[in-house]
Amino acid sequence: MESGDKVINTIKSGGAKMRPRAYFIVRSALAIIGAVAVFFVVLFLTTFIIFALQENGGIFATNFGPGGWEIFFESLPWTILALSIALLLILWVLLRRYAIVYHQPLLYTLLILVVVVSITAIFLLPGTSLQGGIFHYVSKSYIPVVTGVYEFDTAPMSGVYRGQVLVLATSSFILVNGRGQTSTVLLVPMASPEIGGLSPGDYVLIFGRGVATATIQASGVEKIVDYQ
Amino acid sequence: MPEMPETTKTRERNDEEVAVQVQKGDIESFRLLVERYEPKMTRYAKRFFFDGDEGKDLVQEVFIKAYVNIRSFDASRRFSPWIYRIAHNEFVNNIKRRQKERENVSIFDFDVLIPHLIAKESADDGVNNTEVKRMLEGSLSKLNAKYKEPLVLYYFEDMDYREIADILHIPISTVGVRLQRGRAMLKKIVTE
Repeated sequence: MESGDKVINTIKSGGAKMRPRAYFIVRSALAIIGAVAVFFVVLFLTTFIIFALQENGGIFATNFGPGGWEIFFESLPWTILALSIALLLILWVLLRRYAIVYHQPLLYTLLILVVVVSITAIFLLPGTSLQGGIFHYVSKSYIPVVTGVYEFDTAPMSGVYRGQVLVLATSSFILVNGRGQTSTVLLVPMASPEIGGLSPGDYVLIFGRGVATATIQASGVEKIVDYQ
Repeated sequence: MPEMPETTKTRERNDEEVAVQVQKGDIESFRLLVERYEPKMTRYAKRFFFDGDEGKDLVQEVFIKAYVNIRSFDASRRFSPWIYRIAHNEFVNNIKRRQKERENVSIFDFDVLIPHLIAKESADDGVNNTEVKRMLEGSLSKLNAKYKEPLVLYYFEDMDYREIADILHIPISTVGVRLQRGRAMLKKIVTE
């Protein structure tokens, strides 16, 4: 057969050389290493998103009705979220050479990746002090860009106040924020947790209305961990 | 019992066994694969409108690429979708190079994003295979490349959904959807 002869002659004359198995192993290994690296970056960003929502109060705000959901969406770190989604797409590109990935619609693959990353991040976050450690470090020393990303206190959202309980009274307490400003927090009934659950020195997020340097009518109080 | 001639023994081996021999450095076994697949590849190239010398050159390029990359072939899987995948890439890249049908050969397709219910493989929308083949022969040039290729692989190359998915690197459910839409388009073209 003419074509067969041409192909075989090309091969025999050295015009085409069979790639060694090692070439494909290295190529696959690099793709897998790349995918694992991207996965860990996405995981890190996801732990940051959860940490940011805890620190800026967004994650607790959902307990306070439609207004709370507004705070939640306002408090989402959208740039980091968009970056995470872009990296998930890169992860899909790196993995789509495998039948298990391209046999599924992209939407399924992305949903599976989001679930795996979120579950891992949720279980990983309390076990490591990584985000808290970075937050603590950048609050003491300035690192370009990173410090700005971890600034949850200096740019508070409307309706969310953050600080430390200074003095407790029956239905109110004095709050001191990160800049040393004090305010009186009046708890409206149903505020959670009740005043009895608080102690002087606790770090809290207040959901309510008022002025950070005067009186705040609190409809919700959440104790938080202080990493600063 | 007389010893069977070597060539007969070789011809009895399936593609995957022959490919393993090639992986071990047996160039002559590769000739056998070329002989087995040349008519199929030439026919496949023609469906992409690669005819004459251009078609021959492209088919030879497919075989050269198959030889160069043969060690990436996993012998536990079928050889046929593997070589068709190489051919698909080669033909599509050539179409892009020629800058023809560019709008029909997109990098990303919305079809692969969303899940679809898998249509039954036997579903033929009331049109039998012979009729679809006849319609396909006459209307191939009028069909969108996205629908043409699954139809060609299914009706002319006798591939199943999974094999077509492996060649085109798309979800299995998307193969069913493209076949269904392709058949509907064919019917529309024929009745117009």
